[in-house]
Amino acid sequence: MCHSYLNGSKTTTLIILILMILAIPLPSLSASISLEYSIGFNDHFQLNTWTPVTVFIENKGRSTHGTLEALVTSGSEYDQDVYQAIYATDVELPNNSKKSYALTVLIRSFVHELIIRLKQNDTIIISNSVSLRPYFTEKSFAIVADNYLSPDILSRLPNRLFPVSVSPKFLPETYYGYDSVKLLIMNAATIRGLRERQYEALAQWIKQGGYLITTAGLNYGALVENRIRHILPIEVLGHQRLFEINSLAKFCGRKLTSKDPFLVLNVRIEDSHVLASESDIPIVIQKNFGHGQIVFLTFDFTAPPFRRWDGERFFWDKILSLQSSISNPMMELDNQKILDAMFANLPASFPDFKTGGLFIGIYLVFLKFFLIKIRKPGKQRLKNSCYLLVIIISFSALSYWYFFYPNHKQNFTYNSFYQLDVSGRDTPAFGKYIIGLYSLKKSVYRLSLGAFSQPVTHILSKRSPKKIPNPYVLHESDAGQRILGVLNNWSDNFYMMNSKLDSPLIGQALQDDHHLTITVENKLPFGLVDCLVYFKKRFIFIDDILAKKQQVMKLNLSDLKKTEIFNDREAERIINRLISKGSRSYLKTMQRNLTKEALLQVHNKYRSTRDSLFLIGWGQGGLVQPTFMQTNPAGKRLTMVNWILPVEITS
Amino acid sequence: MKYYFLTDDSEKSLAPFFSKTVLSACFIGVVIICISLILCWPRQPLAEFVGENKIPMVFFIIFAATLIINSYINLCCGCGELIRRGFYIIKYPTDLATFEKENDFFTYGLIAFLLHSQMMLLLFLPVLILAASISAVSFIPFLQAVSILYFAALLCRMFGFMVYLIWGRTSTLGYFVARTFMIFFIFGTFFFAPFLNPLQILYLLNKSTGDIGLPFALYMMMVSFAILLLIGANHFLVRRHQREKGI
Repeated sequence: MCHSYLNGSKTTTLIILILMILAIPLPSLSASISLEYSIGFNDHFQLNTWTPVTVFIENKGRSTHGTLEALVTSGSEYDQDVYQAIYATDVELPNNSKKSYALTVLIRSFVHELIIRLKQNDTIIISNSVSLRPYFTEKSFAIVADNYLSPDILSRLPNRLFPVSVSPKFLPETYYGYDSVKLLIMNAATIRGLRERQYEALAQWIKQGGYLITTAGLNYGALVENRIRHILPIEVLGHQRLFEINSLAKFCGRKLTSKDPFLVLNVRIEDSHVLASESDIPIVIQKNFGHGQIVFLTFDFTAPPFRRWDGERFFWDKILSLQSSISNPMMELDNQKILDAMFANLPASFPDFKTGGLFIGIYLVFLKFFLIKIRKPGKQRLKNSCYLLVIIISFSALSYWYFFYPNHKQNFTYNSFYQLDVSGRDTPAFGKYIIGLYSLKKSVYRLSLGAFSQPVTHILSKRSPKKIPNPYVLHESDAGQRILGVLNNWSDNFYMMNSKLDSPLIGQALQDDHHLTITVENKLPFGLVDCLVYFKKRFIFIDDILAKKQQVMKLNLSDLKKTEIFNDREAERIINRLISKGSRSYLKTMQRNLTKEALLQVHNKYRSTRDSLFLIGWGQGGLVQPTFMQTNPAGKRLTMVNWILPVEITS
Repeated sequence: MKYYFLTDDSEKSLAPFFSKTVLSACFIGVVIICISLILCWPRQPLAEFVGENKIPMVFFIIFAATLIINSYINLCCGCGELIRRGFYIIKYPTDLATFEKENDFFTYGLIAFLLHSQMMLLLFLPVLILAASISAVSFIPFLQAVSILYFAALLCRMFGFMVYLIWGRTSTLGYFVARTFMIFFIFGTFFFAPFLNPLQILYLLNKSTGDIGLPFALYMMMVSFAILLLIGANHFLVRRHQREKGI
């Protein structure tokens, strides 16, 4: 009995223990994960620009993975066009870890909250909503990226910019994250400390026209680092002691003097331009990097005497004025016109009416014939019945292979258009890339537009009744940027990507008394056809420009003079000549739809320009190679090149 | 067992395959569908449909028309109206017993109905494929739509035969009951039981905005069940007739 009592006691204890274990609340995944974030630059952002969002995720629980998403809401309830653009990246969180993730988002409205959330499959683990209203600005930024900088330097920066101090860890990881930045001030040691992706983004931004002001201070160790040498090949000759810098008076209107001596770093930079020097010691050095500029200051602008200098504001104004502005694209074709033109050449069509009608007619004739035949009783009935069956099966097969199957293949298609504006060797070429996706079925797609992250936005066609795009996510991963989206049946989605690139066309134009000689080197992977040159208010066709070759073309000026000055009739003649060469190809349809506007724009903008010519050419290929995962849709690509070339006059 | 429906053109067969009337009715049906297709052929280019997010409803229109025509022909065949009509009814008011009534239903009538309904639908097939290609309907929804047409035709055929077995071919009441049933099945169910409405399922297949597996399965289940009930009823009525006649 005692034994059984003990047994009963053990069982009760065990049950109580199990109940106690069950009663202990297990921490949920969300309780072990926390988010910290920074939006824009020190929580400031400029509307309608690409803005960095840096998120730090701390995981104190078991290791996990998921997707970090930033949901940017735009549009208005009144217009019923509120939509969410989703920017996402994959997240791997080992236990007890803290990681940073950077996204670059386009914020068009401060009215709606920004949502930052972590998802695992379809479950939201943690979500934060951020009101954007207090943080937006309409000015561009002057960024000082330094952890140890006194904030009063910001008050000396030019007023027309929005000065802000940013911790380097919150700098963007994409070049277009600097979209709103006009001026970036950062010392060499900070550049050295950037994360790899941040550094690559910085270098890319400067290459595309960014403006960086840097210095080394007293510690010039960072200058010998590969990172710095890549963007600024610098040779350090040592420190020099100075009491004054008189040359700054010439530079910015105030000379810098000090009772105490101060140190400047004597350096030489390859292919640079010294803007101010004192006794052969360079003070302000400017170096081009790609299409952007880096200004190196040999003194420490964060320390006296510079910090107590009354010319500080003038100095920064002058520095800002040195930034070379990159002109806007030369030709601004209306996006809606481009979309209309792309629609007109959508790579899918209904079965041809005439062919369909003929098919039906022939089928009815055969059907009637054999139906009459099989009515007659006798031995022939079975044979004719078999014939009828064969006829029906044959027509069904024909209908399937000729109408159904080709239509099935065009359920998901795309076409793309790249407008490239080239203006000179030292100026980046502007590229506007538009891709249209068309689906006759509900389709899920994963689209990559290249290995690097690009600023991709959607565009809505005005002919479409929908006010918001089909849902899509801009997803960042180690494999690159992807657009993940869903297309409803019988719908479209257009995406646009603006980029700057090195000029793929190099050339010169020489004019003598009789001829205009154009030398062209085309580095594009495709040739340019239907090339038109605009010179002295006239358009004239020239030879096709071959791919990857140097070519010399000679235009007789007397021929040019015989051509009528550009007018509506000339425009019609040019368009007729362009479209007469082909029928309904993508190239011809786009030419038919876009040429007139292009010609008018060129004529209106350059008719008073006598020392340059304008070239319009068409390439049947694309600089962007769209890649679809899991699907291989049929597509068409086309590039329009606009090139302005100065004309040198020789005797 | 002899397959009289393949050889006999007389009044003894309810709806012989090779009778002039049946074949003419089928041909006229195909012609109507072909004309409908030509009339419904999209006049706008495909790009405009995509741009305006409009779905061409050619598939729905053609399949709905085929559904109505094919089901009606089958109903008439089931009732035996296509062979004995007009002049014959007046001249020979006495109804003759048919092979379908005298032979066991499972081994004669059912096989004839299944085959005949298939053959009739086959005549429409090339045009149906063409209509599906215009609306960009995929192969599986196309097969689903064809099976809807077939099952609807079979249901009408079975119901028509039941009407024939109960009231005979000359009954006015039977005539109206058969048509009322068809109208109720094709149109009335839209108001009373939308999940049973074949037009609704065809419309969803044309739209194909998502998975219509469930409505389709529900429809097929209910129609199959109704066909099975009618097969059972027809079998019972044929047996009763055979017992009465001592066959």
